[in-house]
Amino acid sequence: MPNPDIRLYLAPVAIYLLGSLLALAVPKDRGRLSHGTALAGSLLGTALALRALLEGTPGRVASFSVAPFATLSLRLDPLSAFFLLVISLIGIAASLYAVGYLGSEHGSLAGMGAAYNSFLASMVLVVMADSVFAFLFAWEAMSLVSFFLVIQHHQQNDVRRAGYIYLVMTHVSTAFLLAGFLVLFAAAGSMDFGDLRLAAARLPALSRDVVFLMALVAFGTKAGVIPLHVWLPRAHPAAPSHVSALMSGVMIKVAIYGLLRVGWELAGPGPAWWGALILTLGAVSAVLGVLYALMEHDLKRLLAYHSVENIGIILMGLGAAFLLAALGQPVAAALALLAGLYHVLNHAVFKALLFLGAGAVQQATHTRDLEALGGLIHRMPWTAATFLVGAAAISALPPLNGFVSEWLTFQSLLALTTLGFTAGIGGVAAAGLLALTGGLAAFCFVKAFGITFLGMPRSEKAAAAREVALSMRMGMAFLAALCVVLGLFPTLVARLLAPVTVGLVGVVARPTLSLAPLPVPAQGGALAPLALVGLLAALFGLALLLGRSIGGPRRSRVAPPWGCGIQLEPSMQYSAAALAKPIRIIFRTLLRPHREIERQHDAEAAYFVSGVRYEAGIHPVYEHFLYAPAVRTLLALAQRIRALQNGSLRSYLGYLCATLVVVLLLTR
Amino acid sequence: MILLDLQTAQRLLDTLALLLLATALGSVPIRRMRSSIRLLAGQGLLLAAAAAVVALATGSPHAYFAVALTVAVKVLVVPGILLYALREVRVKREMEMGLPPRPAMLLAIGLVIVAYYVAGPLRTMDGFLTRNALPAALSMLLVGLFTMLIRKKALSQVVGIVAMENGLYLMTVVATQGLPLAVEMGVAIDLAVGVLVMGIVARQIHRTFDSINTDHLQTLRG
Amino acid sequence: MNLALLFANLGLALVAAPLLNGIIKSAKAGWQNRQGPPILQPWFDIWKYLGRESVVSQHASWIFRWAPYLYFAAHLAAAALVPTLAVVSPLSGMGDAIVLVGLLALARFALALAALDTASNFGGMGTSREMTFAALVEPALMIALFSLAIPAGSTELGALVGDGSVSIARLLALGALFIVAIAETGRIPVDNPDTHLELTMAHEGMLLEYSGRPLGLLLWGTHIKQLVILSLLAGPFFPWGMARELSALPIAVGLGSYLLKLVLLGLALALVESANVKLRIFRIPELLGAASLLGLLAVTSIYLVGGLG
Repeated sequence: MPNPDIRLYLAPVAIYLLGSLLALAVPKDRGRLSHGTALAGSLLGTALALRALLEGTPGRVASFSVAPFATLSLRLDPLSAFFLLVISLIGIAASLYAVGYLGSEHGSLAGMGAAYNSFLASMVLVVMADSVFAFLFAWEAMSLVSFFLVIQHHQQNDVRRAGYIYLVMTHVSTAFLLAGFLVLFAAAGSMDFGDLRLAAARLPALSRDVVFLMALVAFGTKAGVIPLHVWLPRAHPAAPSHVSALMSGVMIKVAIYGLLRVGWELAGPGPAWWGALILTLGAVSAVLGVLYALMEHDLKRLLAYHSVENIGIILMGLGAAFLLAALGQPVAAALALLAGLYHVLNHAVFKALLFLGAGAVQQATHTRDLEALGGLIHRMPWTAATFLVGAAAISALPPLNGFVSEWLTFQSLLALTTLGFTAGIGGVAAAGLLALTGGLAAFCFVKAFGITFLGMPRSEKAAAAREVALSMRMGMAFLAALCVVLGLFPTLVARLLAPVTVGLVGVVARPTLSLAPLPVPAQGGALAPLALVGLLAALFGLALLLGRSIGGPRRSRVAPPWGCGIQLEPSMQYSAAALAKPIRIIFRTLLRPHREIERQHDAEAAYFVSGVRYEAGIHPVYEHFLYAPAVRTLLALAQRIRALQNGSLRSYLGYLCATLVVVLLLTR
Repeated sequence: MILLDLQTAQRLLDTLALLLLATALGSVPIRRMRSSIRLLAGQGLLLAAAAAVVALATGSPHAYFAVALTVAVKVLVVPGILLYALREVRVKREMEMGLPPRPAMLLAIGLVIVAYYVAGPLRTMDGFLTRNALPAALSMLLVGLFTMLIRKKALSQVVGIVAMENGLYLMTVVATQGLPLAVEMGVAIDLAVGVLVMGIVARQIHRTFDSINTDHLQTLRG
Repeated sequence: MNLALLFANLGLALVAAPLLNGIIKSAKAGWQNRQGPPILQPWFDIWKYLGRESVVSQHASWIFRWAPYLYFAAHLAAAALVPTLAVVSPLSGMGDAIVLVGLLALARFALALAALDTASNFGGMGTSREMTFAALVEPALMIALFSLAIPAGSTELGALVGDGSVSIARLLALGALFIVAIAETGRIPVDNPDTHLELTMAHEGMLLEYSGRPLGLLLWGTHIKQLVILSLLAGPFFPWGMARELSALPIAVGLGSYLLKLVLLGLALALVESANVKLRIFRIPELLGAASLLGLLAVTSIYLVGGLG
């Protein structure tokens, strides 16, 4: 079948921009029109991406020059198509959800609708960019538009502060990115990705290393790698929920795209230490991310830290890929790439699902604090069900999608063990850390789901919650279904990713995944999710059968739970902080918890306690050792330089005059 | 219609340039606001004369228009606005100086020497770039900036800016034989508007803080 | 997939698991110089519970109702995967060692949610402790499995079965996996399976609100999990007697040796339980850290000593 007109691939961006314009032109719009347009754009994007991955990509799609050095070129190759798929899929769900979610927002939604559509458009442009100018333009546009989306509720203090930190960090990222591109330009002499790709083999090693490190810092900041992630736990919760879903689900993945595009394609797969560095950063981010997530009791901040953790897992897969490619193992590298990219898709799906669910909870109860929630499964059954699917998926439980990508990551780490002692020990240590994060993540989601939805409501707000609008439920259900499908049919995803791995490593990965409903013996460890589900279902039925046949018909009675004879109050239930306490104590060197207890006494009676004030918290390690000293030195330096700024107009004029004279003399 | 030959034009321009240099140096020790504004008007007149010499030597019609424009803006409009602002602000007629007159004069002469050092080798004898024209223009610029430095009142600094612009104007007149008309008009409008804005702002500052002494304004720094 | 082996595994798991628990209890009683319950007691208990009425908390939801069935099914599926009589896994091609770990995690997740569902405090406490231990056991388990998988070249359970040779790597891995086994089966020194005091409960805390049929299934599932863990120890480290071909005599020998190994391993667990005291909760991470370290040492010795057996 011939490829459709190449310009059709620009259609999603055009539709999104149309949506922006519509949002601005129709101020009374409650979000339906603009988000409906976004939905249409996302559907088209999904279709185009699937077609491109299955039947071949069109290559260069558009190119026009604005000025010398400023050529806007767009290209769709398998890697771009895959990320376009990720963006569009989550766009479908978030747009669908937003139609219902924004019904309860006050204020003008015109700006939000326009910004939302522009955000989607800019992300698509980033993954399709084929020249330095196009990439930077789209990247900066994406950052600025997302900033506006983050400070949507700018009346609150912490939202403003979150926006500020986000803006600073994103510009740090852009600065490093620019520096990297300039080095690349200096070494290869062109601003066009096509030329840079051809010149990649001839780059000097030092340039490669510098470009790689710049790209790692730039994209690591945007992706949320520890220690550059400080903006993530502040900005993601501050934004409205469907935007958080897009930011956590998609925007940080666009950073991963950038890392692959610049770090792998343009600077070459590189020496082994690149892979080792990425792998280490991934492992550290994964473990620290999940530890901090466990300590959170704000539902959305918890999810934001989990994004840091999952970026760590993705980086572990990609780091293994870099390493395996450098050590001359293309097939294993393809498997590791498959693992990392599969996790990109999976995480996008279940993280977006979880954020949408958290948004639904927040809308129904007007709070994000876990300690005030509870018992929502009876009041919001659909939200609870979809959130449960997301929680099980992110905890890497079979047979859902999270388990498949973690399984693939483990297999890639195993592949490292055939390559000598250092690689082997590194692989095993990384596998141990991955298992630790998996266990802690499961714990964290038992806590998050359990405290939010199960038990008794811990506050009036939770008791008064009601199920949310249909479009919100549909958006979440779509993603939950996708979690199941991506878990049960992994060979389809492997087929979609085949052209991507061919493009990057030259071979197709051959994972031992199977769609067969009955297991077929394979070489080496294998996974057949459909068969597994069949087995579980059969054994579930067996359990029912055994129960009935041995014990007779089921008899049950409802009664209050046992409270040692005391009437059980909601506040007596286990709280989120209590659930996580063992971890807080075990990992105290990393988490540095602190606790203050103050007993307030009555004025007259010194022995009667009238109240107790309890404050507990953690000091994040990176803030203590990295950011605080850096900010202190920067401020001290600024204080010194401030002496120049003495407020006197005449001294400023004096500076001007002196500079002018000096320049004149120098250029003579 | 060429009414002057090149030789005469060059000699006239040279003389005018030296006269302008003299006015620039002369503006340094002036103590009274009115006098310095009148000096500005005088500079404008001399510039108009230079533009007239160029017009007579090249004979292009738009050069005559430039003369008219120069007279209008530099001799009438700008000094007029400044005098109006002066009346509104009601400062003491005497300008406070940050530097005593003798060292100021020495520094100004030093700047003139720098200007000659820098711009001297740039001269060519063709066209209107006479020996003194470019150095004079550059020294007007530098001395103008210098006077901004040493004056304490905000309004007197506006005078300095206008003096700088006069130097630039001289440069354009001799180096390019007249800028294209649109640019000239643009520059003239720019200058007029700029001075107007600065005058208004000085008035506002005086209204708010009861002083336009920039030393007092220093306490406003954040 | 081998149907006969599959049914054999399932049958063994269903029937032998409670018996194994009974044997361990009797052994413990014997060592502690008391008369313990009869060996068939766990069977009697399961029978009794399956027939009784279950009391459900008024705050519980469908999760509480269905979690025990999922718990049971997941552990039984894990039992179906493990090589017991023969050197191959009955379901090779469907899952490997990592899938096995995943199934155990699935069961634990379901039970933990059910424990929180009742709004009872004991559930919360049990969940908190059990999930902490589980999170710390996972790395030790994974590293130990990797140390077995590296010489075998894959994570396929059948390939993990050793050839009976002794090497430093195997010994260290055995140490690591034994500690993991203690933690996963919830025995002293990690957890006390016989107590219902809140100070000492971890796994038992999660079961506290259950009664009647769900409780019976949960107990059965826990026994099956114990069987799976011990089979995981038996195969790689004590492969003698496991059938190499699927014909009558080797299978019979395999069955006999398997049962013998289970009993011996159970007695070893009972010995450890009787000879040690339960550790303080915040000492347990040190124990599990030691297990991870043993695993890492096992991997190191694979490379350094060159012994792949």
